Amino acid sequence: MSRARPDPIVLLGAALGLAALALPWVNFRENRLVLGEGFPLLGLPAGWLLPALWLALGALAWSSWRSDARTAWLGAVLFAVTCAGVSGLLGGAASSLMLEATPLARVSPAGGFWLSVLALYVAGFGLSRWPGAARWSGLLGLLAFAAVPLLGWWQDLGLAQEYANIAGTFWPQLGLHLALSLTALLLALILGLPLGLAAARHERLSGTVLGVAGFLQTVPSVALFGLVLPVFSALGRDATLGSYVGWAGGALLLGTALWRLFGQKIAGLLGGLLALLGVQALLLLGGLALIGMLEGVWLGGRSFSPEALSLSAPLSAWGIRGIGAAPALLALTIYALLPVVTNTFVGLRSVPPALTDAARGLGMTGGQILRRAEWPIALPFIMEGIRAALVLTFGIATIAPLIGAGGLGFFIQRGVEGNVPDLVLLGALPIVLVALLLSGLVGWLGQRLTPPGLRPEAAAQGAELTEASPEVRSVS
Amino acid sequence: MIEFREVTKQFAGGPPVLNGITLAVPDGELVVLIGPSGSGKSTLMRLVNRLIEPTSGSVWVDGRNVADVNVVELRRNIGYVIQSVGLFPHLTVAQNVELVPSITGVPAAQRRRRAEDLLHLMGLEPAAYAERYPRQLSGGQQQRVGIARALAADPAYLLMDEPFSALDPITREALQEQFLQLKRELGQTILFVTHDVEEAVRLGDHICLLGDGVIQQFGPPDELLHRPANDFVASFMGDSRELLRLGLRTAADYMRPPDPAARGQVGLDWPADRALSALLGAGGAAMQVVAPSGEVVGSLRLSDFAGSSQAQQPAGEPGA
Repeated sequence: MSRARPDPIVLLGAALGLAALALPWVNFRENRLVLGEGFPLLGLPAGWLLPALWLALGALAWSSWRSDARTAWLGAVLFAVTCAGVSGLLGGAASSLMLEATPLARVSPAGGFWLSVLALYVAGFGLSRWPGAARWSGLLGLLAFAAVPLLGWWQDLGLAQEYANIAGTFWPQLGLHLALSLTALLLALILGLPLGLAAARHERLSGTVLGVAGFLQTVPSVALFGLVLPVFSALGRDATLGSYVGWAGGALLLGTALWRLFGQKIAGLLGGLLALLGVQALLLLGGLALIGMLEGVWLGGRSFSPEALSLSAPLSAWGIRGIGAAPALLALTIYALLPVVTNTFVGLRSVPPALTDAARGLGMTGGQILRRAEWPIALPFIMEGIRAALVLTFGIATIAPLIGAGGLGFFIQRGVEGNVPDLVLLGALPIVLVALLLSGLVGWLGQRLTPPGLRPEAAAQGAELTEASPEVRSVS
Repeated sequence: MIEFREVTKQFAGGPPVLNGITLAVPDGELVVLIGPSGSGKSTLMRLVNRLIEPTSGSVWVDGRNVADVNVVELRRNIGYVIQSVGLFPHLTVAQNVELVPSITGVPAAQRRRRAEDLLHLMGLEPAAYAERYPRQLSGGQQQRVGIARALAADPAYLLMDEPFSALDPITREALQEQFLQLKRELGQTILFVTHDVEEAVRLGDHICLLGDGVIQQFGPPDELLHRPANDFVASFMGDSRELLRLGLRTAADYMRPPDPAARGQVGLDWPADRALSALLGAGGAAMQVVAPSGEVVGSLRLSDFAGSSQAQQPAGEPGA
């Protein structure tokens, strides 16, 4: 294979990196309130280092050497050094500017830095397509980039100063954010998987289920919070724990009975839905209790009093009130529902009808077909739905602090109100990073859970194998 | 034995697809259900393993009304092969064949051995094919696996719904040939649906021609070809049905004593259509008939094929 051509993607990355030098690298402000002043990188100590690195990387991408393993190594190492350089020069710029400034001054990353990060992403993507060691350059670069702040070299950056101010609540809020979105995902799965299954099984039902899930998705999130607020408010005030558990348990029992009696007929399906909602209501309470407990432990908020365990306790003692985690959980669950339902539906519909016909004809029961064929075939689709739902809820949970539920959005909200861009970043960056991380994790898990026979490489392998058709064996 | 007694099937809001069908499939025989599309041949077959329930009448397998048998038990004793095969794409070939035995709790080693035997029987060497996935196989190979899967539980009955119809002609012929040999070895009672007259004549011990919801004619292939009961049968079996009959016979059925003037040779065991083709190619001259041992046992000329059709019944098994 000829590899004599320059790599256009890495070259583009290097060009972007060089272009970024024309923009201000950091923004310096005397205090939080005044407008800032931009400083280009080249005017700062050791600023020449970055263009040198970009030029070296560009030269490597232009040259024709990269067919051999040594060039790939060189590319990966050079890339990692460039990543560390971008990260380090940001911290360095902050340190040099803060030398002569008061502690109230703030240094924030500016356009040049952000464009450099984009350039790194582009170059890393290009390099990861090179052979050998270069395949790991993305990970290597990420580690090099992250090493700088982890070693404390961003300490003079506004971001680090704001972090120092809120260090006590940052991790608990991140934990709450995760707890909110994961609980919502769990609730959505418990409601969405059976709904997707029912939609896939019943032609007439599919329109309704997918339509409703799609419609719910279009309701603006802030409006949804507002709409469920009075409902939860009234519920928390007037209902007791005992009556709530009674109603939810009753719905579960009645629904299960209807399901058993009428099977897959409409009455039975309605019963199934009722039972699901009953389970949902009970789980919502459990989820709220969990989140309330975490909040109490982490943020020193309310904690459970012994009275909350009595059946006559108002629901508000368990966190069901107009503001707080309850309406947020409900809204997040509703948003997570659509990807879960659609992907379950699509996954189950992707099972060839011939397979079901043959399996039934061979004496497999509906449950056996579901467990042995439909579930494994639909699983990659469902995992993709979980991934979408997770990223979605993690993002939307950002506005949960608006109604008093915690989360990283808390810092964003405070940053916007107080005109502190660094605080906004402090809330936003972890959301982006964790969302990417979760998405990658679920994506990887989805690939692992895809049965080997359904993976793309199985088909590619088959193309050559089928050429050798066997001779018809004669039976004597 | 599979028996249909006065079976009628009517789908909601339509005319009856099957109207009072009474039919018996004797043990060890292969009965072909044939007819134009919409004639209800697949429907009739699917009544046997209760994928469809009759509107009225009953279906009996082994002397028991299928309506009284547990549906899962019933189906596990009846192999089922369909045109689009329906293999599990996420399971290997061996796992597909072992599917039903693995559910019924047959020990792993035993069912594995059975699967390998069946694959071997179907011409797919287990060493090369057992661990492959369905989409790494050609259509013909997939259908071999499908047949092996249907035979895995060693069922006494086999239902085959156009199993070879989606294959290319060469693969189809190879599979038909192999299937005939297999059938003789295993001795299952088989109900076979096809729309292909040639396939029906080739494989069937008896053919049941369905049309307009009723049985138009039931009999050995030769009978449907030579003595069609009505115009419907005659037109369905086609204008060249006398030529198709030749496939049921061999050169031995037509030959006369040796003729020293004969030139060229045809095999004693050649299908008669092949012998006729050879004669036509030789320009109508007489040819020698040669036994597999090489000995000249007779001679054959074009005129032997004319007018002899009433006299001779097929020798031995049809299609042999």
